[in-house]
Parts: sequence; structure tokens; C-alpha cells
Amino acid sequence: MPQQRLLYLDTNHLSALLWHGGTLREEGHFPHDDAGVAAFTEYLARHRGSNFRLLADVTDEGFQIETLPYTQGADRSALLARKLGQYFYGSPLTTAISCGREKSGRRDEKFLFAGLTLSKLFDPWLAALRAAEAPLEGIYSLSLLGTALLAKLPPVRERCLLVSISRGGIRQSFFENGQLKFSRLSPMMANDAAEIAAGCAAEVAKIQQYLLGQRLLARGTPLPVIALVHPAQTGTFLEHCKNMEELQVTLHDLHAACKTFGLKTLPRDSRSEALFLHLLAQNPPREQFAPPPERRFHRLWRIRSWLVKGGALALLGCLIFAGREAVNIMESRSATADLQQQTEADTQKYHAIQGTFPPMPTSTDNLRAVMNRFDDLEKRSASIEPLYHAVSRALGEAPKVDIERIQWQLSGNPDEGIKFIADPRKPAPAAAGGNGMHEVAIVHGLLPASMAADQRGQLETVNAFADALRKNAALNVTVQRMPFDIESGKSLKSSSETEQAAAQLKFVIHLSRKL
Amino acid sequence: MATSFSKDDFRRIRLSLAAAVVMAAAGGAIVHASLLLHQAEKKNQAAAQAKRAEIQGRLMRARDEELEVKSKIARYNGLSERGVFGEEQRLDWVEQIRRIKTERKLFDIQYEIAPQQAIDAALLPGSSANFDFLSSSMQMRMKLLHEEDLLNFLADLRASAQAYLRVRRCDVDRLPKATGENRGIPPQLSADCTIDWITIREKKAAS
Repeated sequence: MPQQRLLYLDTNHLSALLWHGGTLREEGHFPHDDAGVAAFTEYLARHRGSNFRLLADVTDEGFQIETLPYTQGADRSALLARKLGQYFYGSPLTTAISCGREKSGRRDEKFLFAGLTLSKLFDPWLAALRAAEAPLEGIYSLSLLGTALLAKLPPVRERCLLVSISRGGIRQSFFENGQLKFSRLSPMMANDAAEIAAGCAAEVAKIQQYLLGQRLLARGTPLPVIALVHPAQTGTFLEHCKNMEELQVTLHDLHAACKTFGLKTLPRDSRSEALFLHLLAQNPPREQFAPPPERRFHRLWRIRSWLVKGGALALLGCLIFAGREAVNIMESRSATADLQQQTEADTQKYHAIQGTFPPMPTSTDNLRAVMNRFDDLEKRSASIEPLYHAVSRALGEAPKVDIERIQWQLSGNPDEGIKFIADPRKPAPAAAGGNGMHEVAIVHGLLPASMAADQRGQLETVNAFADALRKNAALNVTVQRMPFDIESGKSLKSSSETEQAAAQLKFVIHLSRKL
Repeated sequence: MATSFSKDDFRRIRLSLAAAVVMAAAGGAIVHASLLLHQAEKKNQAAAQAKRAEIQGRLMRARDEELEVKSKIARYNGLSERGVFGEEQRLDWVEQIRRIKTERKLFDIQYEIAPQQAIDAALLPGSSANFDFLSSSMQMRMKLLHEEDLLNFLADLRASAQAYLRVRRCDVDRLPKATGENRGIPPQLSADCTIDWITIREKKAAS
């Protein structure tokens, strides 16, 4: 953070003070001449990087109160700029203070227009500040700070006159409902407490008459007066500033006020500019007199500050996020390490169990793979004996049947070699797919010639043989060819007895079994 | 009153602007790196979790596996003793065929063993890690007095063969009745078979 420096300007001098934690230290006192400005320029060069606030305590200060239609945005700015131009023509150091909107009617807004009218008093100092590119936050009037001061000086009054003594003279500020209405600085040459007190009494009487004349105060209404006085000079002030019917004077302990606001550097007499400077350092009023060009370097400083703070904030946010992620990573790593430890322990247990296995001809995985494949091979193989035995058993039940040929094979297709005789007009069933293996046998049979004339007997014998084979539930039995075709789809013709005797009564049966 | 922002003003704030950008970029990079690290760590954790689950499963199955492995070792050793594992012993096969023919008093046996090759994928799909399944196909023709001759021959061969024997095809046909005078009982049947001699050979490790 840059150091906070305060400039106090009265009619004759500019003082530069360093404010730090409620302590004020005067660093320079510059007379209003070329030498003073030059010394101030050097001072500014020595304190580059500081922020400055200027407190003006000058006599040439004007106040105007006016009620204006309520406006907003650019219209409001234009209206206020026009009014300030009208009231303080040629003076760039002006400000408009809103006193709130009226409760009735159009609800117009009341403004206090204030201006520091003797701008040439400021010009050399402002020029030096500009030249040094010093960030000037604003120009404030001592009267503007009275609002903050009164807010903490009990009791709360509807209207009052705040009297303070400063290097510039006697400052009297009139407040109504906590808002500044008027302020005046009366120059004073005296240094003696009694003279100052007498001067205060005289000035208060004058200002009361002025307020009555301006109708800021109704006749017969007592005016509460609060005077900030050094505790050692209270007696002297009491002698001169007596309570009257229309003036109710309250002497407020200046040191007590300083302590209330946390000022550690207590004034040595009744001059209270230190208290006002402290108030300015602590909580500057929103309204100030410096036009934007005078505040340019402060605005740039603020932008730089925002940029750096914004970047730092973004970095901090990212670091916090990354920190949280780092915690998550650590937790994850720890969990992974735990898992690896447990896995290692389980692996050792597994190897210990494996150690009890008989000597391995190869690795477990290889052994499992090769033996599983060998099992597959066995499942996909078959010997011919079971099928021969099935045919043999069926022959026992059909003694007239003789076997000419058996074509046995292993095939992926259970219908391998089949020729359907049921109905040639019907399409043959599609070959069964899949990975299954089948043993397939085509059995060529022969009936005795004595049955040549007995067609019904031929069919019954073949069917009996097929039925005997079907008793083996695993076997799929299909009669592929009969010795005598009675199918509607085929032609049927008679034959002589000689031809019948010569004919061979052959039939074909297809067998299949899934392995 | 609003004031415009000049080029000169920009020149005066550019260092701060650059600092802000650098800090924001550094922050972004840190966040990105932390996210990447976290992601990688989560992957590691997931992998460790999967490995742990796998080994836990293996541990739980270890007792069952022990029985399974012992049974497989016994079978492996049995097959190995039979000569299923290792190189082909064709000389032994030929001698065994001759011995069975003599012992069973069989008629003439004609055979031809084809060169060894990897087993047909249609007959045995899949693969077996470090082992090759090899097959030598044998075309065999023999005359039989009775079908029992064929069954006995195959049973004897299967029992003594130093390979796994798989009959792929067998066609048994009745022979025409012999005419003329022959001494003894002539063969009644002929058999035409295709038999695979299957052996298993461990793959040689790549040098």
C-alpha cells in the first residue's frame, strides 16, 4: 500500500503531513511563493508513490443552495455542471452536494453547490502535483469534514453552528439535520487564547445575524453552538463565549474529540486542523473539489492497483484451487499407496498358496490355456463305437434289415450328406450353424428280396428300424430314402414279378448326434 | 465527469496490465497442471483399485484354483507321459500299427500319413497361449472280416498311440461276395478312414 500523505492549504502556506495509523507528522511547510513551490516540488520528488489528499482551509469558499428537478445520469451531470458554472464562473474547483429530495410535490432534489473560488491560490500547488505525476485523490474543504465530526459529537441537534479554530482563522460551519448549509472562515492574526476566544464570540454573533438574514435560522430560535477548544483554554473561552438566550454555546474538549476519532497526535492549542486532517485520512467525504484532470494520476494509480490486485486475486484463487487439488492428489496418492500395499500383501498370500502347488510344467496361465483347449478338442471328438453299437441294437429289433454301408464322419453341419425325400417341393432345412461339432452317419440298408412284393411290409420294416434307432434320444434320425417311394411328388409305376425279384430293396437313413 | 482514456494513460498502466495477465496466466497454468495431475492420479488409483480387485478375486478363488491346477497338472503329466506333448514319434506309430495288425490278425492295412501342420481352425477354433496344436492326417484303408476288427484296431491304436487320436471320417462298406475257391474266410468289409494324429508342442521362446 502506498503511504498516505495529506496537504493542508491555507491562505499563506501549504503543509505536507504523513499520516500513519492515527499519527500525523508534518514533513514540510511551504510558503505561498516560488521558493515554497520549488521546495514542494522537491518534496514530491522525494515521496513518489505516495497518495495525496489536499485539505483547503481558505476564506474564498462559496455556498449556494438550490432545489432542482430530479434527474439522473448524463442529464444530472450536465445540469449540475451548468449550475456550478453559473454560481462559480471561472472556478474549476467546485462540487455539488445532494441534500436529499423533497418529501412532497415533484419531489425535487435540493443541492448545496460549493466552490473554492480563488483558484489561483491552488494553481501553483496543483501544477507541481501534476508535474510530479503525484496521485491526488481529491481537494476537500474543512467545512465538508464537519458532517463526519458532528455525527460523533453528542448530542444530536437539528441545527447547530460548529466553531473550530485553525491556522487559517475561525471556521464556522452551519449544519441543519447533519447537512452542511453554510461555512465561513474568518482570518485571525491573534495567537493569545483570550483574543481568540473574544474573536470567536464576536464572529459567532455576526454569523447568527447572517443566518437570520439568509432565513437559514428563524428569529427567536436559539442557535446551538459547538466550539472545539483545547482543554487548557476552556476557562478562557467560557469567559468570552457566554450562553445567551439565542446562543447556546457548548465548549467541546478538542483532545476528547481527537481521542474519539483515534488521533494520537494531540494538538497543543485550540487549533483543530490536525483533527480534520485525521478525519480526511480516515474517511474522506465523497464530494471533493478537484476536477478530473487533477485526479488523472490518482485514477491511473487506482487502475494499476486494481489490475495488480485483480491479477493477484486471480492468482490467489488459482493457488487455493490448486491447493485443494493438491490435497486431493495427496489423498488419492495415499489411497493408491494403500491399495498397492494391500495388493502386494494379497499377491504374497496368493504366491504362498501357489507355493503349495505341485511342480508346474509351465506357467499357470499357459497350463490353463493348453488344458482348456485340449478339453475343447476332446469335446469336439468322438469315437465311432457308440454309433455302431446303436445301429447294432436297432438291428436286433429289426432282424430283416441288413447293413450295406456306414459313412461316418465328424462335421460342423449335422445335416451333412442328407437328401430329403419327404417332399422334394419343400426346401431343405438350412444347415445348422454355430461352433458345435456333430458326428454324422449315413447308413445304407438292404431288405431281403423276399419282401419285394410286400411294399407295405418294406415300409413298415424300415420305419421299425428307424424307430429302434430313435430310442437313443441323442440321435437325430432321418429316413433319407425308402425302398419303395410312395411320395406324392414322385411317379409310381408297377413292375412284373421277375423285375420285383431282381430289384434290390435299398434304403438310406441319416443319423446325427451333437457332441 | 467521465474522462477519456488516452494512449499515454495506457502506456502508464501497461506494466500493471502485463503483471495482471502474467499472474492470471500463471494461475491458469497452475490450475491446469493441478487438474492434469489429479486426473493422472485418479487413473493410477483406478488402476490400483482394479489390480486389487483382480488379486482379491484370485485369492478368493485360490483354493478352487488349487484343485483345478492340480487336476490340470495331473492331466498334463498324463498326456505328457503318453507322448501327446512333444515331437511326433512316427516310427513308433508305424510299429504300433504293425503290432496291432499282427496281434489282431487283421487283413492288409494301407495307410498314408500326411505332413504335419497346425490343426485346422474349423476343427478346433481358438489358440492356446504358448502351445501349438499340430496334426498329421492319416488316410487308412483296411479289409475287415467283421466291423469289430475296425473298432478293436482303433481302440488298440488309441490306447497305445503317442499322440491324441481323432477319427475324422470312416466309411465302412460291404465287399462284393467273393467268387471262386479261396482258402479261409475272405474279408467281408472294407474301411476307408481319415485319422488325425494330434500332438502338442510348446512354442520356442524368441531369442
